[in-house]
Amino acid sequence: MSSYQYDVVVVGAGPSGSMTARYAAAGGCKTLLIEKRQEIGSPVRCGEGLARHFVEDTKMPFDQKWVGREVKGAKIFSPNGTELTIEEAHAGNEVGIVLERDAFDKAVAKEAAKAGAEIWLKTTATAILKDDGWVRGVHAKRLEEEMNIEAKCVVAADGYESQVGRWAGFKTLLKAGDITGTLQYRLTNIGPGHDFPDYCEFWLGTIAPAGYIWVFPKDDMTANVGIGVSLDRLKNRVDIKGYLDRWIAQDPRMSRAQPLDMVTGGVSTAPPIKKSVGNGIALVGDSARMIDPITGGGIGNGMLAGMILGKVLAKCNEAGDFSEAALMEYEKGWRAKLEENLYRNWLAKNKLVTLSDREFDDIIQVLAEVGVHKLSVRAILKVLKETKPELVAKFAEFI
Amino acid sequence: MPEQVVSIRPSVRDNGIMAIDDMLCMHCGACVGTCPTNAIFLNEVYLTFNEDCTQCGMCVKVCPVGAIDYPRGHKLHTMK
Repeated sequence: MSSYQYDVVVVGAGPSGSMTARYAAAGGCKTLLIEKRQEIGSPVRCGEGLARHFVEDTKMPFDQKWVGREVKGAKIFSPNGTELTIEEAHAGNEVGIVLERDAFDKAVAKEAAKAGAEIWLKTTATAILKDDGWVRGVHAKRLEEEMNIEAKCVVAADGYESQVGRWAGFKTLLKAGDITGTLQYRLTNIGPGHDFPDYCEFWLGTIAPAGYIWVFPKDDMTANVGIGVSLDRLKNRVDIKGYLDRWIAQDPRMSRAQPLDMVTGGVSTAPPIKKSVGNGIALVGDSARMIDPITGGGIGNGMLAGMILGKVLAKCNEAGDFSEAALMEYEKGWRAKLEENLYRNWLAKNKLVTLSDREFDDIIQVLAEVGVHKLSVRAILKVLKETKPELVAKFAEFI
Repeated sequence: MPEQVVSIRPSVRDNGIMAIDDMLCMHCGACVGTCPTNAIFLNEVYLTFNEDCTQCGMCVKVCPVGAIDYPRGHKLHTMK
């Protein structure tokens, strides 16, 4: 069996993994990025919404190639059709750019390659190498070849599945209420209405129990139309598809729409994990449950954490110390940026999922009349408290 | 009305633990991350269940395209 030696091996070439590899390699680590699939960025597994600031924050060179469409903001629809429009500057972390994820993931990987990282495709990690309380690398299969990839640090960026972390003993198991199943069609030949295609749309209520339906425009007549439903609201096989198909069938804009592709996936809507580093290992992105529990968006958070991790790995390499204590700098770094918001949104999500259609209608109605200047849980609750305090009784602790 | 030919579902692999329809599976990994006992293995395009499975059914529900079912003979089996 062959054996390879690296400073850092990153498992998974999504945005988080590639961003980690880029900053680790740029900082002087001999870095290997492995991807089990035959193509980076494909198949796409998400709604592709991203706020512009993440691109700047992680110093991604802007390229029109990975921009599907730039939108003016977001529209939120209550079950009775009341429309709340929020302009981009205030619209939160998943609104601004609708990406071409297949091109975007390749662009992030390209930055990793430019920084000096090696990339192997069709390479699946099948186990981790452990020794004396340390993770020493991964066992992997590349086409026919079985190998040990020894590394001073393994980065688990293997997405929602989070296998590498589990093998290493991290608690990444999720409760049913913190799991969302998603299905999305890229629909074309969509007709006009609700200012399509200028806004990312979010449709709330029992049409998507404890989740929502999104319409993210890709061009003048094409959009990602998808649904997320919480696992604890699903009863039977193919329930998710039934919810989405029924909604599409009743939207007049979609009466002649046809699918170009279909995307599925699992999303965590969990609180941040308790621990993301160990001796010789760190978790990043979806595998570390960094997804926003309200929106289900994870690209931006994952890239930000990846950048922090890559820089910390470079420091660890210089010091020759990849121990848990040394990697704590990464854990502290991402928590400082993300943890409070993730935890607050998880608490708020647990309240939101208890709202009835009627309550959503009332809330959106008030917000549409009064206007919201910032799409954050706290800002919205403040507006509601001033106008209809009885609506926000459930959320008293957040204000 | 044209005569119906014999209908088979050759794409279903049923190992007695769980059943997977390979023609429906999108290999997205939603079931893998959901599984509380880590009993599902997915390499790029091949999903399989091992004996750690407790048939809790979380994967059956979370699969957005209904590619996973209880095995044939199980009282909750619904694949035709």
